[in-house]
Amino acid sequence: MDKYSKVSDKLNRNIIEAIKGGSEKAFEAFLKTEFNNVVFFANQFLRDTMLAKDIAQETFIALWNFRETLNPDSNIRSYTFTIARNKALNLLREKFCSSSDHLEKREIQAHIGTLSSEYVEEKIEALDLERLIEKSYSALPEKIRESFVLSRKYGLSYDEIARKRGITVKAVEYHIGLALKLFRRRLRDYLGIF
Amino acid sequence: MCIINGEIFIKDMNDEILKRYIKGIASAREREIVMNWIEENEQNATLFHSKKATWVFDNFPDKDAPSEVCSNIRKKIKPGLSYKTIFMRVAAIVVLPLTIFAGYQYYTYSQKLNQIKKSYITAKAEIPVQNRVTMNYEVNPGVKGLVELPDGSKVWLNSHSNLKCPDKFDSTFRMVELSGEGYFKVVSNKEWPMYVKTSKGITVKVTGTEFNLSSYDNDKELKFILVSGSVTLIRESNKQEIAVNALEEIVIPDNTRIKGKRGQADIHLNTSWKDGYLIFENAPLEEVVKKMERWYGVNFVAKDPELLKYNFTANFKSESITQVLELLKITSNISYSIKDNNVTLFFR
Repeated sequence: MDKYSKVSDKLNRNIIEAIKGGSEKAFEAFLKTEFNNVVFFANQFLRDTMLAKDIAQETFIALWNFRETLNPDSNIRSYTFTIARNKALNLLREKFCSSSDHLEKREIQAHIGTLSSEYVEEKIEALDLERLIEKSYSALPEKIRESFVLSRKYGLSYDEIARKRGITVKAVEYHIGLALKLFRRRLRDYLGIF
Repeated sequence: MCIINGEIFIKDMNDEILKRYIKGIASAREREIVMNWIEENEQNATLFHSKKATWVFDNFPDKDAPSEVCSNIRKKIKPGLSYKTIFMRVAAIVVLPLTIFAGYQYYTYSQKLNQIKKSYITAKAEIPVQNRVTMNYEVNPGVKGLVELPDGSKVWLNSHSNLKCPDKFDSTFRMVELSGEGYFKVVSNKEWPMYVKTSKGITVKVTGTEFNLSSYDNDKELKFILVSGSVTLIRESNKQEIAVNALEEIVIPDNTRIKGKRGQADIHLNTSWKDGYLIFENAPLEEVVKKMERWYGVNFVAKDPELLKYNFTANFKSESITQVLELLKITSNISYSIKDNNVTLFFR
């Protein structure tokens, strides 16, 4: 567990510092992994794929343009989705005024409600680079991945994993060590900033 | 407690309906039910916000964006364009030449028209009979075409359409026959009416105007949009006349027991296909799929019929089918696979 959260935090910090420092490579690596998620997120409230794409574009442009003000202790994903949420809210308010369809107006109202609710806020706050990491470890060999996921995702101790899988604690340690090494290397390749 | 639009208030929300709503596959009626429920009280609204937020964040596509996205943003971030990007922009503006397959099929019209049974009801409108050499313009799926008629009128033909007209019009009337979708720009002449016959038993009578007529055999209805002027639609079976005014939209179902619809036309949405735009505005996937089959010349299979209810809003200019499907994939929880000319859609 600890090992993981350190990696995730470290990764987050590294990305922010790199983007802050003007690394286009880091920015594009982050953009590549997150762009579609932002489009999906915006479309769930705007129900207009073109507007959703525009919002995602503007979000990343804003992220880049204001990179110097980034706080290395903040969460890069939360920061990005907060920008996207605010842009979506602005557009929804405009749409609310221009829409003449009664049902659509009510739905826009509901979407504005959801987007400004604490639930979306919580979800945005809870975003971390876990998915990015999960994606990298989906490339791990099955045996190693299983130990790793049990440890990381489900928070099981090495003892518990060993018992559950019928292997020795040493083997679990070995698996997780290897997994960490492998995906650190992958992330290094991926982001080129370590 | 509140009753909106006479909708019956539902105390316990049907979980299935709520799920469908959040996924974006609810019908108009279900959308209204959900709205009534949300507006009922703060608790319901709160429950909705929490369920929706959870679903949205649990269903992220987590799929890398294509490299164009990066280069697009790079262009916007960095001032000054390279020659390469200028060239790409120019290339994107160049309109692709329209392809048309005009077959010259010679046969007379009279036989076909004579099959129309004359009604016993006093005829209000007479559709004249034509005996002339016929030109047959055929546009395959995946392409669009522009036809100039013998009188100088223009017809844009949408994918998978067919237009028959004589090599020379009769001196008293102009007769053409359309199957599929066409945008007509008819040269005005009050003394020389044009008749556009469809296979759905409806004939359009005009003297000079612009309109869009969609009458595909595999659609369950005929759709007519009048851009300017006025026209008359004639139902061949009983010679009933329907007058249409400018900016009106008329929908006539094949099934004569279903009432037709008349309303205000959305000109841009319905006619921009002729300028190469593929536009969907809150269109159920069922309709999107049909349009895409024609537009790209492919076949669609939906693994779950439910997904055909998903409402899609998007517009495309020169995107490939994969680009369109990718957009659907990242903006909804619907995924696809392509093999040859067959596209399979499924919930991911």
